[in-house]
Amino acid sequence: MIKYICKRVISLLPVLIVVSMLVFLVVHLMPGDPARIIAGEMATEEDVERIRTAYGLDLPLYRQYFNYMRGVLKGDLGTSTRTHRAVSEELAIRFPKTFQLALWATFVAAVLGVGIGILSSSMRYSVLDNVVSFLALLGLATPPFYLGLMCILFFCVNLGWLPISSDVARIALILPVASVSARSLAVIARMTRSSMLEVLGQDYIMMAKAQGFSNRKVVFGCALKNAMTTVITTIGLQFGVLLGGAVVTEKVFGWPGIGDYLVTAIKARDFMVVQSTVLVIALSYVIVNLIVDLLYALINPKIKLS
Amino acid sequence: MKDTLKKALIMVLVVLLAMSAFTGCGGSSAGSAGSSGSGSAGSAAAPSGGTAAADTGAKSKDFVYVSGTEALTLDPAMITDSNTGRIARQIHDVLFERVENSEIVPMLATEATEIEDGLVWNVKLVEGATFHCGEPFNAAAVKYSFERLIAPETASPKASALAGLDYVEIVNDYEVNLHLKARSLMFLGSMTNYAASIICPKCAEEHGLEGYGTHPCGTGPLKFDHWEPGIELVMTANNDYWGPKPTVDSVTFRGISEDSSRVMMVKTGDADVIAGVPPTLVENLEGDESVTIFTLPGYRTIQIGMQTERGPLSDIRVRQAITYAIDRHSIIDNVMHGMATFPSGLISTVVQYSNPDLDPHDYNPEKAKELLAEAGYPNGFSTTLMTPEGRYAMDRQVAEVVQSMLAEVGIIAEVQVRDWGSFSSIIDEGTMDLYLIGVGNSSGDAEYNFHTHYGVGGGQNYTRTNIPAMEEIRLNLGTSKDNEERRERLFKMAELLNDNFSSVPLYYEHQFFALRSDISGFKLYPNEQIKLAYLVRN
Repeated sequence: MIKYICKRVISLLPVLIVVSMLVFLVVHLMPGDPARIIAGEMATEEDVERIRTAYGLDLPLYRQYFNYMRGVLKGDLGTSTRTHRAVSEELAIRFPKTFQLALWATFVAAVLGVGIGILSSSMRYSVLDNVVSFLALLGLATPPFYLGLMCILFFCVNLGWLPISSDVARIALILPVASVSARSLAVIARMTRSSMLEVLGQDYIMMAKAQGFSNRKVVFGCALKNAMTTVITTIGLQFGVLLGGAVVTEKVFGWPGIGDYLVTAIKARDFMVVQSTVLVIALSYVIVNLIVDLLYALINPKIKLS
Repeated sequence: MKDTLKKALIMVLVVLLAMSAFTGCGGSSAGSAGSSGSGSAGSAAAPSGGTAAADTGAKSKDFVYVSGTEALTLDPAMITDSNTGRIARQIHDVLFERVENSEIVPMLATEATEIEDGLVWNVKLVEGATFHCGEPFNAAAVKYSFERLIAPETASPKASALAGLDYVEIVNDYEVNLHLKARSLMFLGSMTNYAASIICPKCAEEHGLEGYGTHPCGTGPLKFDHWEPGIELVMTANNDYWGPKPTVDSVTFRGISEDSSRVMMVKTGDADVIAGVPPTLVENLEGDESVTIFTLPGYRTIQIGMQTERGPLSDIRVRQAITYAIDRHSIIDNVMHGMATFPSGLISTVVQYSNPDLDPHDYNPEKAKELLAEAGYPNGFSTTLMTPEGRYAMDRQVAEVVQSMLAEVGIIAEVQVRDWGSFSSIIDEGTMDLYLIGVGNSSGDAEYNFHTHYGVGGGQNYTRTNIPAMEEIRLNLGTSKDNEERRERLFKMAELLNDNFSSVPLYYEHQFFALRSDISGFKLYPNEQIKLAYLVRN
């Protein structure tokens, strides 16, 4: 097990190096001259040239890459060209915010999604099942920004129960988590339902039922565990995606996460921020994947870790 | 089987716990920042809390200002967007400021006179002003601030704001001589730019170029308190202000990029003042009695630029045809909901020395068709129309309407939407045909636009405009004996530019702010500056 984890961690390195190269290339080959954008709308030619030299943008690309990677290995993720602050400092504020939102949203979505999925699969084709299927479809189809704005309109403007955007209270988490988790909740509920149905159709379930096990025992004791593998994969994937930031929700609620930060940086060709933020997102994504893989083995010993 | 399930569940719980512990840490680091934030917000509120205890009827003097983006840096030399410029100017004063009607009035200066044939501006300074750290404001601070801005080591993107300045000579503690490279009557206006703000030399040296942006120290009515990027920036009243005493206790600045959220925040009172209300949402606010809208024409002209060196566009008749084909009244009424000003030429008429009486070249599709036929395109031609999206209010929509208007006279323009990064490098290379752009003015003086946007060699002369008659006047503007003569010359240049049809001015953009109705004391100027220190909640 420990050997496996070490192996996996080592195999992450090439992935991260390739990611860093790809992002670096994409950022620097994107149309648009970073120096000109940093200089701003009113700048003159001299302003632009001065900035190009100051940021080392006049060096050949491979040297810029090595300079950047040397910094990264020392823990220096570069300086934002927009705010003139260290990227690592900004990520230290924003990443925990994204993590907090992603974790709560995944937690809510997983608990409710798995619960609803189980309920709905064990009452297949009932009114409840149909209602759940309909709501799940709605959840998948509703764009998060619309849901977010409707939540604000209803809870903040009409009822006045919650603040629109605030960092003061824990309460500020409620609406962002609700609008981010709706989609994941729908995905998880649907996945749980379908994989439960698949498992419930297997012969050994019939066998268990024939042996006189109660319905509850069959569902929770035999079926759920076997259905869990796909569900955990789904939950892991959803969590990984949310760690990349929920751009739209962050915009609507003014949540200081990394999604909006990254998009703004791309628009402003704030190349250091883009490179480093994507690197951090890639890192967190592979770590989540690793954890998911380890969970498989715990749930189903038949999956060998090798 | 049961055991493994139990194990799995325990494992899941452990992982979740570990994660929440991590968020706990993350949360606590953010939380400590948060608590320090609320702590200092509390301390900021403390004086009002004290008075509130004595007089329970007192209204809060703490205000919340929400704009589309948060401030990027508070170092005036490093700012490139007007929103950040506005926020930083609450902390810093300038020597001269532009007020209503773009008039220039002294701020930290008392008077300015041209000496030595206009190569030197002698400026006298106010006495008794102090920086927030307690250091006195004097001639040395002016010298430091100005020379820091133009020094190559600073690599300031705004160095061009004081481009004409050679060096600053200290005459005495409250008098400086500004030596220029060439005579410029526009120089006074240049000093109104936020980039020419006066900063504290001691604090700037202490924090360096990297640190000043988060440790600003000026002479302004508000002083920096604390800043959590992405969350809030708080300024408190400078009760030792040399000018009129501020009426607020604190102002909190936040950035919420979603327009609808910002609008809802001012409706619910989560925000006291919001910047940037898109025209589509203005109507929504107009129906709300608890909100007042502040609007003023700004310096920005939204226009259709034409690369005058490309294909059919090099023919002035084609450019005239395009101008006559566009129904600007319809765009202003239907796309902008009437919230823009019909243009007189390319330079907004609220800019000082802009010509308000130019031929509008009004909508005339018949004339457009005739001109096209004359130019050898009786059946029109195909071209491209490039536009950014989301940079100016309704930009892409306006471009699409222009596209359909051009189609009416036979010009088939393919709309190309580009993000600002690509857009700016394409117009710089000059590989575009038609393009929609907003052109502003950082000094408030029309001369600036002629040098930068419409003169040969201008940094942003994207249309490649070259009008010999206009160039002759432009290069001799420095010989104007006074501003009256300069005004006449600038009016003539505006006429020549207008008759060259290198760009179609569509409309002058308006600035929109919304306030809670019970708040007074808000000031908004044509150069996009605002004053927040004198807000009063009634």
